[in-house]
Amino acid sequence: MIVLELPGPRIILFVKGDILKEKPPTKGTESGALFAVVDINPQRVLIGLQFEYHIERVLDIVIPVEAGFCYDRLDHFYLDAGTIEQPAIAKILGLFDGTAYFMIHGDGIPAFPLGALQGFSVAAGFSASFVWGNTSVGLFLRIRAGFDVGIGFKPPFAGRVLSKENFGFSLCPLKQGVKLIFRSNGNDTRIEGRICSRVSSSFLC
Amino acid sequence: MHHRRNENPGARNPALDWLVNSVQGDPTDVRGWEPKLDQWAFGVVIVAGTMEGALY
Repeated sequence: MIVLELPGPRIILFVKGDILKEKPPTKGTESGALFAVVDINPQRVLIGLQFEYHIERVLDIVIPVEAGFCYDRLDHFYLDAGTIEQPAIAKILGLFDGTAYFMIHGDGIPAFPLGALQGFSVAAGFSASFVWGNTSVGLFLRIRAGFDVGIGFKPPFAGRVLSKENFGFSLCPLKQGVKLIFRSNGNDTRIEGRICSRVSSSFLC
Repeated sequence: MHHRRNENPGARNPALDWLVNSVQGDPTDVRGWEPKLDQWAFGVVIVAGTMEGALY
């Protein structure tokens, strides 16, 4: 549907597409949808797309993709496939969870986990976890790993890497993390690193 | 005429947020619109699709 809104003017294109798929069973709960929007007004253009696919108790996928451009500030643009606050999500069988994001911003990414990125910035992150057991009674096995990588070009070059691992039973969790920060102004380069590991126990171990 | 979409201006992409969360993909859903004097909207819809296999 294309909509013209007045005053503004504002022109918006709404799209909803159902995904090509095999015929579901008569009482099946499978559903998939694609939502897309192009929003144009005299100040900016916003483009948004969200892909969703659900099979009850089996698969749950949500992938948001957004882009925005301002006419008055050309450096104020963004292109995000998932974001730090709202990453793309995949859940499989209720056991495996995965999240991911990839962001390109013209004027910085303030929400980056290891500190704000400034200027033209690129950030990406991935996290996956496996949970087996009953979390409601606190007796379960969890394995989790992820990383965040970000590069900002103001000052000239600054990058940050954060890696996280988390493994253990609920009664004896083990956490590990690697943090790496590097900065360069073209002449001098500084690299900072930190590795940490932690084991906490309730009454075992 | 004299209606506007009740989108959330705080959303990052208000129009997409409105389409997904307020009207579940149907812009003609009246629940997504509210009265507002001197706000006009004109819309055109195209429905396209393919189908194969047996009907049931």
